[in-house]
Amino acid sequence: MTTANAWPAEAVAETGSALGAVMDQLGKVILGKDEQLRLCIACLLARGHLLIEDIPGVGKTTLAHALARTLGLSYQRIQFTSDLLPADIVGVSVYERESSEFRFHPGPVFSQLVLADEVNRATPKAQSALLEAMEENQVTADGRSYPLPNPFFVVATQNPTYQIGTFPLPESQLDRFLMRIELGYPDASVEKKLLTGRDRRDIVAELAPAIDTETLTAIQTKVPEVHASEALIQYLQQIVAFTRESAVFAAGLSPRAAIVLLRAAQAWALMAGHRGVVPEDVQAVAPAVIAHRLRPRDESAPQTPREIGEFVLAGVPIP
Amino acid sequence: MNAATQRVDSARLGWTIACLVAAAAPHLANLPPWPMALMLLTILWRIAAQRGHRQLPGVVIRLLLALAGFAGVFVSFGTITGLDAGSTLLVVMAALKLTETRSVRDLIVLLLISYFLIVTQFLFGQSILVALYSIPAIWIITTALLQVSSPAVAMPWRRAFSRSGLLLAHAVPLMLIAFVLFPRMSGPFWAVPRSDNSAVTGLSDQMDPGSISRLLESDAVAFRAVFDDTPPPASQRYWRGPVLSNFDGRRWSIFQENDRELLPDSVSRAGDPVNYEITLEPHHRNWLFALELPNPAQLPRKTTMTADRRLLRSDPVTHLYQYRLESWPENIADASARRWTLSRDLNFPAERNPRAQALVRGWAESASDPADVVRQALQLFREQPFHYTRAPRPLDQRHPVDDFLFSSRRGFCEHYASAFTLMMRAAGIPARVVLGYQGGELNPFGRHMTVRQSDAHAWSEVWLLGRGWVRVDPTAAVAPERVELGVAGALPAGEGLGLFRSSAWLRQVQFGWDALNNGWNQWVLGFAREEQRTLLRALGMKRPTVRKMLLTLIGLATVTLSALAGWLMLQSRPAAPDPLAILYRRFCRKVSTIAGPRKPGEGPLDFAERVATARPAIATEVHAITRQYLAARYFPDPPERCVAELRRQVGALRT
Amino acid sequence: MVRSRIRAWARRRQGPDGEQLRLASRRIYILPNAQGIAFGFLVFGMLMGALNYNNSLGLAVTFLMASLALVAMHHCHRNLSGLSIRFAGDTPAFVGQKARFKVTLINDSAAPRFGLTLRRGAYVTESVHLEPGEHVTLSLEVEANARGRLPIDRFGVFTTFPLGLFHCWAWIHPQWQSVAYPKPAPPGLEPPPQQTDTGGANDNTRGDADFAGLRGYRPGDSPRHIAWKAYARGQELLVKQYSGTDVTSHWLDFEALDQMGLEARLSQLTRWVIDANSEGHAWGLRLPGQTLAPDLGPAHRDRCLKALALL
Repeated sequence: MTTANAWPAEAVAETGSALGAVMDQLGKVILGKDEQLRLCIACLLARGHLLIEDIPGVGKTTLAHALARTLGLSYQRIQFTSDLLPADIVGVSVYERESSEFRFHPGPVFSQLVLADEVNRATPKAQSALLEAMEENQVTADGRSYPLPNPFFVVATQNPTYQIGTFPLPESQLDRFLMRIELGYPDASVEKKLLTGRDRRDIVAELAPAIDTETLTAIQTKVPEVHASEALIQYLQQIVAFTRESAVFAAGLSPRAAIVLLRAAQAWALMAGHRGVVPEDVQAVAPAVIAHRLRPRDESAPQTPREIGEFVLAGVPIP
Repeated sequence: MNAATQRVDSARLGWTIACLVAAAAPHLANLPPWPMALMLLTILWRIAAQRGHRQLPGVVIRLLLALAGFAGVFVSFGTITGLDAGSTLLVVMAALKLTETRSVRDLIVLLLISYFLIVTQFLFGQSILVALYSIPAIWIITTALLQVSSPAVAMPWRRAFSRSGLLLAHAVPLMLIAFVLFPRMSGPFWAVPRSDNSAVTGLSDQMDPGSISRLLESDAVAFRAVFDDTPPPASQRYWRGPVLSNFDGRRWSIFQENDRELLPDSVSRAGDPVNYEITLEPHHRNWLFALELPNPAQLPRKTTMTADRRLLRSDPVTHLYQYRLESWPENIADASARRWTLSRDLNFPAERNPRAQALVRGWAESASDPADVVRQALQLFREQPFHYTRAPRPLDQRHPVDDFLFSSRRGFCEHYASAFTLMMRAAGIPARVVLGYQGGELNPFGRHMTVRQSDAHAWSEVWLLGRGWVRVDPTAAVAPERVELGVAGALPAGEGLGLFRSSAWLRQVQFGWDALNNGWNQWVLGFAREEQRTLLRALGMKRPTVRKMLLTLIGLATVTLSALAGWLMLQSRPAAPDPLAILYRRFCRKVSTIAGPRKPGEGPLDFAERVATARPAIATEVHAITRQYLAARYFPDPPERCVAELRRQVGALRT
Repeated sequence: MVRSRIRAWARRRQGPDGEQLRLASRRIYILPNAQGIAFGFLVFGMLMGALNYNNSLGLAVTFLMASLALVAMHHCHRNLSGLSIRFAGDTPAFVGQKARFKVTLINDSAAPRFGLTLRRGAYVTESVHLEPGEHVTLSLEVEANARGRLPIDRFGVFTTFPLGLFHCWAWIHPQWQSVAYPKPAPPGLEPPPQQTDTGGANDNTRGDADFAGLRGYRPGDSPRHIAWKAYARGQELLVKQYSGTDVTSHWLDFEALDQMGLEARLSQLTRWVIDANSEGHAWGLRLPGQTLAPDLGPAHRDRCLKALALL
């Protein structure tokens, strides 16, 4: 992709080099998944959460772990199971004999990067505990609220196939996630490298942070400031209007969806080094941002995120 | 249509009523007041009904009102047809229709009636002011029609006015084409009797003391004349009208038999002819005015010339009428009159005005020559203390000429003409009174001459052996200024003709207004069959026929409407993009030969990449253009002159 | 008769329309309506009068009115010309009700459009007004007479703006379809009992499940859910219901209703689907050749109803 005009000097230094280093390092560990990696970072920069829908074994866990290591974030993995309790996620208050009072023991959710693995295996009750934490950025227990760390980034994975004893996230909850992506099978050359090379998990364990938390949060705060011109806002509105008026979808994008689409596009523009958001930035993030918020009317409508994205983007002319 | 039966809302009803009032108001001047009163009543009733104070009248009341309306028209005019009765009926119908306006359709009927009322108003008068008045009236009606016929469109009235204004503006060129090219008829399809109950100021076909001086009050225009060359001097500008040969001792009137005798075509000519065109205001009489002596071979259509040299038209002049004439002002002689014609110009009641008869008989016996009698009579006016005044005292009913000649000695032109003509007849000299206008005012703006009612004049003609009929103006003997300076100059101080004649700049205003009216009369109102053909010939149509005119009209109208349709088509295209988008589109077109056109959903960067990959030779230019476009369209603080720069870059791109 | 032949001709001439179309000039028809004809008579009367009286101003106004009508005709035509029309989805209906087709009118031209109306048969929508760049969505009602796919074979978009003298319209022949769901059977027949779908955890009486209330016992309910204490107090047999982890669901089975005819079965299943959805139960649907797994929510309901409609 061509990069556009000069970016203010200090911003280039700050974001460009920082994000460049992150991407470089991640690219070495997660092979052949550049686009997904970029989306992950964009999602994180836009202060959103990520849902990865894919079959087990394509590297979801490795990706999340590598992200945490590279970004220098504290990392917890929660394996969702059918007997997982909400307390297992958010934490529990325990009575301490010495002080004779309840003390809150924070759960695994109190990490900067939380991998919620196979989130659909847990009961809706447990799922909603996580989703509530994501929504409110804090955990409430025994009438007290405990703020979650900053940055706070949830990567949830879900097995797409319907299996007995799973509870897919309800549609109404899906839009808590800024993006939903698929990792997909690696291509042949990558697969060969995976087979012949070192164990990815070992490599990940050795990774050192490529960026510090202050820089990361600074970039996060800068995302909403990325310029979105009148023409671009118009393009976004047309996308939203298209989904609302199209016969293909049962319901169109909500106003909140429009806002997060803009945020994601701004994050992407920042990563691409654009001084303002261009239509390609919107197009790059659109499939991941809008697909899980749209419900195809029937089987003839586009189904996969890629299909949905292509359908919408091809239907909306760029002004 | 469900819309047509929709109930009416107050705003639309209000505007419809306003239209009706605007269309009917000018008729206040033309029609009796009671239909207007009826309309006012129904308007108030309808408004009260709209506000819920009253019910609309039921069928019985409406029927009674309708019958009363018809009866009223019949009582007022004795008929229910004709212009006045018809127009009154229209107003009555509109007023009654108002009492049963329940749906949108009823409002539309009222608006169509309003249009029609506007047109009927022109049948009573077509002045510039009337025309100016009708423009906003038509605009309001059209606006109301637009609003009323789209009941579901909630449009602010301001906007509706601008929409209807647009429609009218688009209609004007078409209207002008039709106005010029629509073939005019030579006469009416059916007789148009115009009842004479509306008093028109002007000369009548009889004269008694005071009948001319009454006209002095009127500043109204009698006619306007445009001379091809220099107008003749004031002393020759006697515009002849009716010739009065009957005298009953007090009143002069037309001898009807004279109408049937026509002047033989052969007329001796002397001096230089004067060619001129007269635009005569409608006076509802048959006669036309002319300078001495019109060429009988070049009379206007449907016009004849009688033996006493009057121009008579077959129909009364009910519209502004234009005609061209050729006259020989110096040729005042008419020796061809036959004796038996002359005899009727010697009659007078012997038992009336005995003193005047006695006086003249004395002259006639001593005089050697009829011309000597004329001289003596004029000398009498000149030497005795006769006064020219617009306000003489009333004269004796039985012997008015005696009273004037021997007692009052104050009078206006009709007094002098009457007394002089009687004296000539008493002396055995054939004489008659001629009514007409004398003088006229040359308009400095329009090079035309305006003759007003106040220029009305009466003079005499005497028949002298060997010379024929000779014009004698006895008023000139008393007040020579009347001929040279006009009435205003001849009247004694204190008998002025009102404001317009006194102030210099007001006179200028009057001249300007008169010039405007003259142009209006000539080019708009007087645009009839002949004028149309003359104009079309001047515009290059050889031998204009009805067929040719209609074909040209259809052709031009089609062209005009196609232009309008084209303009509207442009309007219905997708909104015009800004210059940036146009330039970028041009760029996309230029490079579309390389990698195919840009897909609607394809971003500029992706497209640039595609083009650059397909033809690396121009990759730099393509990326530069794309950067420039992105910077101008999507990035903060677009560089100055980015559009111009982009234009240059796109222009310089060679694929 | 004539009308239907004209319509058939228009359909042949235009061909079927797609999801989105832009009204081209050639498919827009315009004729004077009653008001326009009245206006024509008015102008003719004026012309006769003005010619007869040789009245120049009267003629001028007559020509102005005639021109106004012609100009209005072009404006009326333009009001539709270039209008974009897009199918914006449908609301299926049960047989006997009316399905709605949403139609979006888009004005992407530089001039406003006024008084646009959609019409299908006797059904006329409200009239709308579109500023440049605006769009609006209107609904057309279609009577759902028989179960199955419900096409909207034709509708018209028309306008009489600006002066109401002309009726300008275009026929649209879309291939859009909605669905007519089977008419629900009257309530009465109880659905088959719920089955517990073991979502990993067998025990849904666990402490963290929220007690939601009691309902009457139906044969097949698990004895563990019976409110024995209430029964001991002398009340009827009640079953405890839990929310949150309630993963029990109905299986609505086509084959189980073998004593009924096809339409009656579908009607009954439709009734159950509606009830299950409104009561918030999960349900699954077994139809010949097709099985919809237990789920809940409006999307599932629509899927099931559609499957029933198209069986």
